[in-house]
Amino acid sequence: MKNITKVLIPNRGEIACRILRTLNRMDIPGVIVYHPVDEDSPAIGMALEKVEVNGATPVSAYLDVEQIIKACKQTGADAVHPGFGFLAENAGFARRLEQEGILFIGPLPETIEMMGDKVAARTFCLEHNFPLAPSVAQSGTDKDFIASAKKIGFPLLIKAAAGGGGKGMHIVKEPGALEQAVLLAKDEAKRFFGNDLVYAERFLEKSRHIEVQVLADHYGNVLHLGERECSIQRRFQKIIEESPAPALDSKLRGRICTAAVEITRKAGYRNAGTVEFILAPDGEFYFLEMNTRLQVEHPVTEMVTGLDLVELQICIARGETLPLTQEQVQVKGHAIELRLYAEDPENDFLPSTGQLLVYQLPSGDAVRVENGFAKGMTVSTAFDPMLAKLIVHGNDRTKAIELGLKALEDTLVLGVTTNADYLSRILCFPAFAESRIHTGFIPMHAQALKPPQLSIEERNMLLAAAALSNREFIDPAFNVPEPYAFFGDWRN
Amino acid sequence: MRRIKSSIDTQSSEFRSFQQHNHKLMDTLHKSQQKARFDRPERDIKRLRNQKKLLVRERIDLLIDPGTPFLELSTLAANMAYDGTVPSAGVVSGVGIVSGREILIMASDSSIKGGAWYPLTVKKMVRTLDIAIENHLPMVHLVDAAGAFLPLQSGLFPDRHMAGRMFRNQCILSAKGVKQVALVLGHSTAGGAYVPTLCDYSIMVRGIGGVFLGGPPLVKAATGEEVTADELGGADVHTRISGTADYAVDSEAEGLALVREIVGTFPRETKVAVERREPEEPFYDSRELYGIIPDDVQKQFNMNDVIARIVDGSRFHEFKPDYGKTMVCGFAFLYGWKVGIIGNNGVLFSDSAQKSTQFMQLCNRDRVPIIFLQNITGFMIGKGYEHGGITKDGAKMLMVQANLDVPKLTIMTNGSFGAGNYAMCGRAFDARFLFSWPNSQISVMGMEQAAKTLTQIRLKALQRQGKNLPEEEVRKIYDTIAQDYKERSSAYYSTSELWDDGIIDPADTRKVLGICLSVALNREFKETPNGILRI
Amino acid sequence: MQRRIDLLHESYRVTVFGQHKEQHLQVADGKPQPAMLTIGKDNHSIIQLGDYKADIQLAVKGEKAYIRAFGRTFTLGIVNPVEQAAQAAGKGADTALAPMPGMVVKVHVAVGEKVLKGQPVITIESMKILTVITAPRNGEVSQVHFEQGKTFDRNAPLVTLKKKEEA
Repeated sequence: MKNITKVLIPNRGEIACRILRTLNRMDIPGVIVYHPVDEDSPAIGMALEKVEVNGATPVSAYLDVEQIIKACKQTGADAVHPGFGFLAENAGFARRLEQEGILFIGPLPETIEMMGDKVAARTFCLEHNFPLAPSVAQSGTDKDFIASAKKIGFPLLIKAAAGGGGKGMHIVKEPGALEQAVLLAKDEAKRFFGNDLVYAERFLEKSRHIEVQVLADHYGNVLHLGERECSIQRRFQKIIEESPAPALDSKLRGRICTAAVEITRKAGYRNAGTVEFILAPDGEFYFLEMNTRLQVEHPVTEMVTGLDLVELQICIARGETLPLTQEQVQVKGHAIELRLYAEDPENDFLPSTGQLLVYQLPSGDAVRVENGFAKGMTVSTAFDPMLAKLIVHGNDRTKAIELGLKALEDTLVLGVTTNADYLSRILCFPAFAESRIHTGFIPMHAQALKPPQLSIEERNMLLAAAALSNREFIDPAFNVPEPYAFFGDWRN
Repeated sequence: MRRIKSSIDTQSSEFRSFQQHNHKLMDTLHKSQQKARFDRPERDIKRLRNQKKLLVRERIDLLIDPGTPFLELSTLAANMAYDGTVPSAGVVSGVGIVSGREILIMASDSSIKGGAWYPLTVKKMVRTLDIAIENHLPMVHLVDAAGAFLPLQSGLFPDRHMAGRMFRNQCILSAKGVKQVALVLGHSTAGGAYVPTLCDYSIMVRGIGGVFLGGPPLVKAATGEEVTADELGGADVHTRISGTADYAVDSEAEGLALVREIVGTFPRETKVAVERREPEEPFYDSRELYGIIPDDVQKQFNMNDVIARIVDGSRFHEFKPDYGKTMVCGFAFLYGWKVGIIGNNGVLFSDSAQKSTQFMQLCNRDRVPIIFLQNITGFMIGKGYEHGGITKDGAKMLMVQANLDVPKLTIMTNGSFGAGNYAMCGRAFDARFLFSWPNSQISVMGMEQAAKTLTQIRLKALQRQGKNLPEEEVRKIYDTIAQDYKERSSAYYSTSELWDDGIIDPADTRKVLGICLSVALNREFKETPNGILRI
Repeated sequence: MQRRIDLLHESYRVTVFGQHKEQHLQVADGKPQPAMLTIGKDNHSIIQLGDYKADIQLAVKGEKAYIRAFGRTFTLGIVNPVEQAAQAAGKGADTALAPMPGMVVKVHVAVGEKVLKGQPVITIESMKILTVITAPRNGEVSQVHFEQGKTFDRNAPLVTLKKKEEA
């Protein structure tokens, strides 16, 4: 059994706050590393200690292994919770910590490595007969790869082997576009993930993204905490997640969760993880990837199971056995998570920047808010544009949707464009309410999800409000002096 | 304050016939003004468009605040000169509001002979600058002029109040702390180059603006140097190399927006502290003036009826009402400001002259601006009056009037003949603004009298040569002289020669005086606490 | 006072007449209507225009007004007339602007270098999307505004060419 006396978090934003919240509850001191650009972040105030890190870019600061290790030594942190993103799935980092005698709260480096290499992960699945979508890895020349990729059938996806999280993926709809896509994907893979290996995978349209939260201790005990549905995606990134997956046959659910547990067990997995599947319209499901970390959308699982995943992660890392059996895992009600992004859905979801002049998030028992920003902070393109997560939980899905809409109504962000109104429109959309969702939902309903047209009166009222709140219009220094004010535009 | 009780019967046949007559006059006025403002040969407009230039009144519209008035001065300048080919004398001047500030705008009209300066153009520009000096009005110059109209150069260059006076005025304005902004939207050559350069802020439009003492053709002729207008004195040359101008912009629109921005930084003028009340529209409709003004300059009307249709609430406190009844003197409020009104109600006698002299002293001591409403055929003549000292009394009136410190505004409502013109603050007596009604006439003596006299002279001369003319010939001579005389004493001739600051619609008198009063109160006037002589 | 206000990619000419309590507002050439904005607590305000009234939430910074109303959130920009006229005159043709906020990945040119229209001058990254920015016309580079690794906002000037008159 290992003791954990101080946990360092090389992360930022809402996840840093969320981890610190559990640490504070468990009375375990937390240390946060931060780049000066984040010095106003709420996480800094929640941690016991803070260590500044620097880098050529803010992102690179959070990726600087040596600085982080130094920070651990400096503060006496004996464990690291990497959160998600940054170094969370960096096997090299996990190894370095091991060398330094610092506990890495997560799986073994070897597991991270295998699952991090999407091609290796797929090989693993093939070996163990886990269901896989037709795919082909690159071996040999680009020409050979393109030829074999063609055989998978269209549409298909070109993905980076070292990638993940929906980044660096290209859809190819017809053979003519394949070569271009492969070259582009390799270029990006090299740039963003360090190596240019890619693989091609059949793209199943109108499929659903179903993932299973798994937990495993160091003693071979593995269980699942139910599934999540993350089909509402834009640019391959999830913006609405829910648990349980709606309109899912319970037998099918059983099969998917069981498959996830098996994959976890066979991989010798430790700690928390998520196995992602594609559920095709015909009821077949296929392994997509395994994420060897805590995921952004983990709160929906916590809401329906009543468990604290970060706490469980810490316990497992300390060497404790899983504190409950599979039968004891109960999924109650329905939870939905809404990701509030600083982006403009009416402009291709391009990220928006600016200062959070007004930043009001809902509060109260009906909604759980995971937030990494505060009023007055500046949102820049240095990081991912997620501002906060709103998670609601109701007796059933309808109630959850209702709570979600209320939460969005109570959300007011001014100064930076967000997707809050867009998320509301999705929640109100009949297809969503009727659970007719799949990964092509957003592009398919793009036109219908556009905001309603402004009437002329509404438009004019907006212009009037803008004008009358602006100095140039109302400064008395520009008032027309008397008696001219009586004349209007008279001419002699 | 009591209201004037106007006894005009708007249903009477006289009222109606005057009304018809004056409506015709208005029609003529409006048509003439339209023509002067907007009628230009197609090819001149095309030329400007090709040069990517806006028309002068388009520029003014972009310059002034939306929904604000513009009082244009001397629209019909030069309407009876140069065969009518130089409407408004080729330059537009007027009072407008820019970024909330009262501004005097002077803009060359390059759609007329390229904005060239005729003698009357120069006279109008000098007059505009005089207005700026007398009233401390900040100015915006929209410069776009080709230079002097050479064939008539002797009439615009050498004398004291000709072109040089403009630049001298600009310098005086600057020293008085009156701000000037220039936007050069065309060429500003020779002396004209001084216009923007003497301003406090000078903006030039790239590709269009040019400032040089000698333009490319002159330079080539003088030294053989070949150079383009832009290379010689374009926006970039003067804003980057020579420092002659302060800002370079890429378009007229940008330049005008920049002028507005600069003017927006000026402090708002504090008016002279004179009493002010809440304004009140006149009780009587101003348009009734059309039925009051007679169709013949010899016919009389009651000046009180005119006053009632100009001042706030038609309220008028008449001073010394029972004495010198051919003069009306009293206090009223115009757009809230207290004013003294002096108006003619007949020929000037000693007592009317004395009354107005006493009244003017009162106004001067108590800092009340004075409005003169002229309708005067002259002082009374004859032995009795002469012995009674009418010349002396007229001189007293002149002496006091000429030395008044308070602002004076004059309206020619009908006749302005002879010495009466002087006493009632004619042009020579520095009224801040002087306007004519379209029916007005001005000459040294009435037309009939003058025509008779001149005909007699002609006949006598012919008789000495031994010629005796039949009735109709005499008639013809009389008519020709009368016609010519009439023309040269008409409001149109007066405004053409810039003897006034414009012809106005009588119904607009109130508004015009309101603006002029506001402008006049920008400059402090001396306080002269003298005892009043009951003259 | 009159200004252009941008809303949802359209530009409107808005004029306000009158003093404080009796303001009238006119959009383009429409009828001027009485207008009043009552600012309340907590960013809640009421806008009245003619016969219409609406509750809105409003925050202002500089020349931008951020309004939530009618179930949507809007950003309105009040355009400075000098700048707007300058842009209309084509001043922008000398500068390559950022089509979206992002970070500089690589700068391909140096100050003083002569470039051809369409030549790549800077590569930017936003949301893991790479975009290559090209020269707006033939010319000489006079300024590179951001170096590698620096972030910028949408419409930020990235590379400026020397003005035609100077070059």
